Amino acid sequence: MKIDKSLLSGSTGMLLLSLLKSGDKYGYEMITLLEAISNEVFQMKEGTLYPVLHNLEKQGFVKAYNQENDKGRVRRYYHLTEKGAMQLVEQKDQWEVFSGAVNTVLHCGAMG
Amino acid sequence: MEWAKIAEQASADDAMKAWLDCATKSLRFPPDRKRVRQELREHLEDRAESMMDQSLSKTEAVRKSLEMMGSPEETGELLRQVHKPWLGWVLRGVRLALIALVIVIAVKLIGGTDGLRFLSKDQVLREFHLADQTYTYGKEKEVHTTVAERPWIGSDGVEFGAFTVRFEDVIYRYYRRDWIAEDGKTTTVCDLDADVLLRFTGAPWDKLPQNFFNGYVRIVDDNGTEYITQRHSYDETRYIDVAVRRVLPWAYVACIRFDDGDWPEDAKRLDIFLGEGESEQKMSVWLEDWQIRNADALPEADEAHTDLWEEHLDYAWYSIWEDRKELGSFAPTAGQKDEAELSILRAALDTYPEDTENLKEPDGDKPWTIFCGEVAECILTVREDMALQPFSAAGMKERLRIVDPAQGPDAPAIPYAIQNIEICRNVTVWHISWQTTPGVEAYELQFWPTQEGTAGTLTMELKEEREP
Repeated sequence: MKIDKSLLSGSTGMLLLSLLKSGDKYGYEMITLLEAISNEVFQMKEGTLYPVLHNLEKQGFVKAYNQENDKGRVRRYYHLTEKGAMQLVEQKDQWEVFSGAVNTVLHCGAMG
Repeated sequence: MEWAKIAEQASADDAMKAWLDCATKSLRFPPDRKRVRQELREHLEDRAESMMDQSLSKTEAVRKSLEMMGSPEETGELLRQVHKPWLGWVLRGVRLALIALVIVIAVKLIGGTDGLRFLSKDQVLREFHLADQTYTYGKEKEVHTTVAERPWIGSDGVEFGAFTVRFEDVIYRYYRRDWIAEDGKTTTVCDLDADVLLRFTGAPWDKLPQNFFNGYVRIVDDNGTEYITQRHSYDETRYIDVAVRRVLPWAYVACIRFDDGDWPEDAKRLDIFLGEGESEQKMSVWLEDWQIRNADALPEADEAHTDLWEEHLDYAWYSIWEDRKELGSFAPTAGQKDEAELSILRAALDTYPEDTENLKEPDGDKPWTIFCGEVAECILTVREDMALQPFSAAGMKERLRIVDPAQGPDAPAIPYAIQNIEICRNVTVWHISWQTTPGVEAYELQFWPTQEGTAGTLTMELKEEREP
């Protein structure tokens, strides 16, 4: 199903940060990985990925650098900083609290 | 949805370019725009490539990729919100300011460090025509060769205003000058240079005013003789002249030159005073003895050379004895003793007004005596072997004695003043003066070239009657 954009925008950053937990990646790599992992639930317009990434960089959660990928081409890689890792943990906690609350309300509503 | 239309009409490459232009046009800060555009383009290329792997044509792959990227306006707007341009300019400004600060610090460090030189000593000497080399003036040339020089040791530098001052070099040399005219004719003379070069280092924005040195530099040697830049009265006889050159953006070299004839002949130490009053600073330089560098460079005597310094003597004669009134003259004489030849070129009996200080006899700790009233003066030339000649008035004093021959063999030595006015090859020219006594009709000059054995003598006899 198509996910509402408003849900997406707040949490896109969190998703990208968690992708980087397993290693540095470049933009295109992250998009394709995201599609694969989420079974194509996350199919955002690819152009909007970069503003989010750049915003994360601006806030210091990721650091960008140029490097050759395994095809020998230079790409802009992103690296999760310590600050970013802490932010991820915090956001995950918040998400779990939020989604838990949502679930509770939904179930309660359903029950009520 | 304009994009769909563009994508259909333009070629794939043009469409991609247009997409990128649109998405990045909102980024005002050029480095950001360039970088983001590159990143987006790489993404599109990767996406297109993966589609071409799935058997799409290049054109179709590119178009599909653009579609998947989404609206360039939307992307552009989101990017604009993230990349605030003013921050980019501020950061660039900060970076420039930091670079400027680093340069300033580096310059200050260079200025304060003795070891860092970007100009060789020779280059500096060339600026003031003090290096041993050939100087070209149009079609004519002049070759300088040092014959002898006095090495030196300098004291540490001083801080003077915004500048650090150090000794650049001290030149005290007797050198040969070969002037080669356009037609190849060569004229050779020998000259003495006495220069003290100081280096002033500071920052490029610190300026040393050109007229700074007029009156602000004073040298006193260990005999108590003072040398100044400005003539305060006609009877000051020891002068220095200063030339300043900016050799590097942060460095000046000042050349303090002793006037011809005003050389610090017997000095072993020179104290150089910069500035005035409370801000006055002192630097000292110790002069070693003369050392012969190129004895072979000493030329042979010839007539052309004699003419040249005869001319110079006329000038020296006139300028020294401005106020004289000639009462009589002595016949020129010549004599020889061992390897030395002496001759008196000119001699005169003159009167000087009592208040003149032109003729002085420095006498150790005693105040200077002044010759006035009736004074005898002569120009004495001494031609001798290089090795014996110390270019020094003190050296001459030890070898020359003046007596009244009428008083017999035990005649007392008459005090005299002696000043070197010219050095030409191995000939030195001296101005000698002494107080005369009424009734004395002749004077004898006794000269010991080697300071041993018997003296060679020259006699000066009064030729004409004195006017009352």
